[in-house]
Amino acid sequence: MIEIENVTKEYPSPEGLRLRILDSVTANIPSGSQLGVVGRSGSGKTTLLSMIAGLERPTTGSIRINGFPVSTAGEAELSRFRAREVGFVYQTFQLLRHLTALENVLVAAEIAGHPSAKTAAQESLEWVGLSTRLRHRPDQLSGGEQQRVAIARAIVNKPKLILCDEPTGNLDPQSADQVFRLINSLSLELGATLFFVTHDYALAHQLAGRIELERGQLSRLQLSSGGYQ
Amino acid sequence: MNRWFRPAFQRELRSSWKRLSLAAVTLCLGMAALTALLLANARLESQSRRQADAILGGDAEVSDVRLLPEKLLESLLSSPQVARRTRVTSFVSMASLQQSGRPRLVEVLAIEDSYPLVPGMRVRPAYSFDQLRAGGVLVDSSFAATHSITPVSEKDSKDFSEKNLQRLLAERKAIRIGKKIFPVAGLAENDQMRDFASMSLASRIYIARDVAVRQKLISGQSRIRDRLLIQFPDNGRMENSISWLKNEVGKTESSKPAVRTKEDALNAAFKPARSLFLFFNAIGFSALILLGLGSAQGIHSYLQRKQADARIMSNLGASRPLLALLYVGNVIFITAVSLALGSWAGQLIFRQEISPRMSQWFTGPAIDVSLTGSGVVAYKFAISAFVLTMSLILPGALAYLRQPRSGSSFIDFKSAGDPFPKRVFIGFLELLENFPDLIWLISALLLSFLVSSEAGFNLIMVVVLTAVYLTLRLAVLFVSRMGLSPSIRLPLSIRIAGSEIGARPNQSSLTLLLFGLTVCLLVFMWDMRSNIVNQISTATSGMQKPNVFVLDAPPDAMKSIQNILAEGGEGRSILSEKITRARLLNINNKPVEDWLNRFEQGSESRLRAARLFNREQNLTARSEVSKDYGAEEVVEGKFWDKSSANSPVNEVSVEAGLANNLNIRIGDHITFDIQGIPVKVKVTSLRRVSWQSFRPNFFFVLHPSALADAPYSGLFATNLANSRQRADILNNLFEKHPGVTALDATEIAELVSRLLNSALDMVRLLTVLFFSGALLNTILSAWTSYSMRARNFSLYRCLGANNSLVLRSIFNEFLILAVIGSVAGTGASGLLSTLIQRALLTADDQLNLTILPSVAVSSVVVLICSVTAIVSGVLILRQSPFRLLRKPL
Repeated sequence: MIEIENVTKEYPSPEGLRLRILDSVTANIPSGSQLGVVGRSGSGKTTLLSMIAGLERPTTGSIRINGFPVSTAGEAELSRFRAREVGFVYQTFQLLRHLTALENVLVAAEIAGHPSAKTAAQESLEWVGLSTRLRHRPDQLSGGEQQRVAIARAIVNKPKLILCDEPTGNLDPQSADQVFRLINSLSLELGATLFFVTHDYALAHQLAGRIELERGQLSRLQLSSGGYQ
Repeated sequence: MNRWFRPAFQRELRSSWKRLSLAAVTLCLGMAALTALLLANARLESQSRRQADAILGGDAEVSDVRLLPEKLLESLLSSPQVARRTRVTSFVSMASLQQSGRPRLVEVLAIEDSYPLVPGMRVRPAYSFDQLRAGGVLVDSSFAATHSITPVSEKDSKDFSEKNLQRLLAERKAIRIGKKIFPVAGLAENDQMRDFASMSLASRIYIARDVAVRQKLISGQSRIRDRLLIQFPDNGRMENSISWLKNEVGKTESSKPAVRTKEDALNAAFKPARSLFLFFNAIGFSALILLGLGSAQGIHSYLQRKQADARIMSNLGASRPLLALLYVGNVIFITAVSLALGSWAGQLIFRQEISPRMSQWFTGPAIDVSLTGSGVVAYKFAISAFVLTMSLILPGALAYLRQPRSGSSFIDFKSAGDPFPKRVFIGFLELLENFPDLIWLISALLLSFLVSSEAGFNLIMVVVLTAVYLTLRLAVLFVSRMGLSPSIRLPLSIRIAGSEIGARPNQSSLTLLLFGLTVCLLVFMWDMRSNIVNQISTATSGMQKPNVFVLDAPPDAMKSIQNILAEGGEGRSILSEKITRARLLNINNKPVEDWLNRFEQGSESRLRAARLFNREQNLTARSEVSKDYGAEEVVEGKFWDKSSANSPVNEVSVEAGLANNLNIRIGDHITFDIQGIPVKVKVTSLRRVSWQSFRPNFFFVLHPSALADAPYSGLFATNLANSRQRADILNNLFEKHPGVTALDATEIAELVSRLLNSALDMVRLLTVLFFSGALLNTILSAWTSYSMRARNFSLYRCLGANNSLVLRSIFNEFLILAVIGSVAGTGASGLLSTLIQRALLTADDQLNLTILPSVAVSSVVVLICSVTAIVSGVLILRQSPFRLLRKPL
């Protein structure tokens, strides 16, 4: 269960004012949910993801994930939590350009202290259909392939939470569709909770649930294709 | 011009000043170093040439320590190969200024009418030169000023009656040399004529040679130097003339006079300054290279970034040439301002700091040099500034102009069927385009050839820097290959560090190069400084080192002279040596000519050997190794036992450096001609001799039995620190033993001390310049690679890396760079020292290298890296990783 309670996030603006990015967001999301996160630019989608991953702390409110107090945990615990429980997929892939596909995946497994990191990395790349591209560097791969390497990296530690920040934003429709389906199927297979930030409402509608943010406030939370919270 | 351009240029200028400020400062410092060096080099060359002219006075000189053979003189003087010539015979004598006055040491130059060949000596009054033949003398103006000597009137100069001469002597208008009184016809301003290398700092008195011969002043002297100065016809065939001269002199059978050319004199004049200047050259150019490396990389990465801005502006309709002018022009403007400021600062440094110190290296007034004052300097400066600017901007400009995501600006010029030379050429251009540090290195080395006259030094710099560069590039390649490879079992933080080094090969190579050069130069500087300090300590410990030498002591006067020198000084150390003149006949029964042929024509070893073989030299005999002043020690073999002093032992001890040069080994046999008697001795020991010790040193020391029957003269050396006591003792000595010669080396010790102190000052100055440059470059390097490092480590944090892992990885990255840089730098410093030692320095200028500087400097580099890593890591950890990753590149 992901428990988000009355979370507010403020940043100081260049003019010295307080800019409220998230405003009293509250949501209880069951584990294993598949959620599309939609909203206009600046509505707080990325900030919400960042706080769920424990990369930023809320100004007020709290977040607990499967009982783990993300908003109050210490730095070392948060790092361990991110390494083992969270997988990230970014719009711009965020692969290390000087490493091969295998090494890009391997580094995530190594940081998590995986006992057989290399095997896990190879299996992960096999899952995403890149077993023949292990030694290729990012600039030797297409955009869709790069994103699949990023997905392999996100799932190598079999996380309970997959956070995707507009992962299809830089892809052509066909590649975007393939990537969406891959993430969706892998998260289902792993039983992980999926937060899929996108501007594409059509894609978001293909997921079981949806979070809509508007000016930092939660305007809509649909946990399954059936009802709203 | 477009309306948008001007405000855009101004805005860009403001923003680029911020981004390029460090690069501009380092560039400014580099240019300051180059300018100061260029001016110092120009001054050194012009001053050395003038000094060489002054020392020699002609195109060539034939000299001997006895009167030149008449037969040789006849053949030289009758030849059409000689356009002008003059003969000078010099000797050291005692002169007194009053009837009962104390005699003073003077150097007498018996000259002919045509002396000097070059117009260097000024005489007051002008007619006094003509009075020489009549019997007058000229005296040094400084000597005259010190002793209130004034020239006689024209009328008095013609009256040589005893009464008039006595009156003139009483009025300090005449001087007594030996038993004769000579009226002072005029004063000679001849400071620039002083031979820097001369051991005799006695004041000079000029007398007509025929007068000196007539008055038997020359024949009574045991220690003379007879020189024939020659000027060849100005027909552009100087080398032929010199070759002819050497051939003529070589025909002389009775003795072997030395031939010295203007080039030799230049080298002699240059030598004291040269060894110091080599060091400054090394440091100056290395500082320039070091400072330029950071700037080149900074400008390159800046212009690369501007490519994206230019694309946006171009899409908005801005013309591409104007955009190129906007961005590249901006950088050119900043570079030009930095270079201008740097050259101004360089001139200031030269005038305020370097020039006054250089004045101590030479005698005579300083020659003014400026960037605009001399055609050659201005030309060199203009070319240097152009090459500097182009090499800094060109790689960045090409990177800016090329197609997005393309690794080369020359992609359109390439096709599959290109011939090999074209492929190689374009490959080379691409290499330069992508490696701004390489193009800078090449440019700086080219500049070093342009600015410096030291070809040998430049070659050494090329070898060392290329070796360092290639080693470091290979090190980066190795570390980046290691990267995050799963097959390498190292802690994750070290593997991440390795992969980060490989992620920025250019930046990492640059950082390594900076660290390497920093360590190399600091270690080298430290070693040089230690050597200079040691030399100062050797030269200045006046209470210990001899400063008074008494030569030509007759054997029967040895005891008496010893007693005089010991007056008023309980326990004063007085060194005495028996000296005999001898000529080297053969080594292992091979004549000296055969030995000479072993050496390459014109090599330093051959010159040294030739100097030794072709002249008579001083030998001494001792029953034990000299323990005075730590001047020598046996490094190989065994010195004969003291108890054997009275038994016949045909053995010789040879100076180690000479033995090395001549390939003389223990067990070899050497035959000397000692006063016409061949004496064969066996080499049983090699000694290391400290030539800076100021004590009398000898290449060959024989067993006392070898010289038992040979005629000898005595040499004494002692320290008389108190000037009044020194004068009293010497006066007493001259009264009782007028035939001996004494040399007062106090001034020489002070001169050497002043020179070395000025060198030490310059080392301090260069250290400040160099340290500030190195520090700026380290910051610059960390700054230019910061954004990529921050992005990568933000990703690691998102992947679960904790703060400790991030900090350790960054720390390890810098630590690996510091360690590789330190090892490479230490190696390079050793290589640099060894090459300079072997190629440029003589055996007298040993560089003593120790391990301590390497350890200390490497520790400082590691410390600086650690601080940089911690600061960099903390800054990265303060950023929100998720937000940083979302920012556009």
